[in-house]
Amino acid sequence: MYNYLEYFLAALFIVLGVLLVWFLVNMKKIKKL
Amino acid sequence: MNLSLFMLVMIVMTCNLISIIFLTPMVPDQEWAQKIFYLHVPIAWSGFLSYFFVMLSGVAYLISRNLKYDRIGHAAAEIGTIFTGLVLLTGPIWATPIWGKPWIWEPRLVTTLVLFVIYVGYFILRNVGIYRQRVALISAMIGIIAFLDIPIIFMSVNFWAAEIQSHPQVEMNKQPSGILTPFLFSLFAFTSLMLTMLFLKIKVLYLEDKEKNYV
Repeated sequence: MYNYLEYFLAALFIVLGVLLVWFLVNMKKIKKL
Repeated sequence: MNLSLFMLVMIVMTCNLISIIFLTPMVPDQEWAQKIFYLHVPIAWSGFLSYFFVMLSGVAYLISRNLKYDRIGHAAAEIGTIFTGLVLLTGPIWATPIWGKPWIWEPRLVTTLVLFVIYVGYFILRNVGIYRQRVALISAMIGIIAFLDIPIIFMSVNFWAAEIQSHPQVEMNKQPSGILTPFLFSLFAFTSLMLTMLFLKIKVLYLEDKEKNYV
């Protein structure tokens, strides 16, 4: 039975990756300003 | 930003991910693909809530002409657009195995894409380089007008003929409780994450405005 795990992992890592980049960029801006 | 608030939200998000991965039941036929729903729907809800703040701060700016409201609107628009972008990415990932193709020109998908494109225009406008108060005024108006799309997205499932819909039309209160509880928790986790991001972004924009002597 095929369980589609890779689709879930793709969605999860895209969401976490985008949010992580956003936080890193804005934390850096706060430190700089 | 309050560090303890940030840590609290991170803990809630970690619990949420653990709950999604390990505690939610597997739905027959969809298996892991169904679990994308615990990310996709709360992200969509948080994004729309964020756009609601854009609309409110747009109205507040038009009444008061205080740049504080423009910063709130700008921050909320950025977070709303990131979340809507994530909805437009996670949706096709779910649709690829379930519908057999990543995208179909169905009402809810098209209206969400329209909302995203309106806000891409909003950010292009913010960066064209006209003076600060003018940008704030036009952005407030766009924020109010763009929000009209959100009720259309919500109603799109009922608004257009059933034959052209592919969206799941099962109401949340008819879902089994094993799905409903983690879903509501995920909704809470993503909403609190969105609010934390909003506070952080408002602070960044305030510091930027201060550096340029607008405050």
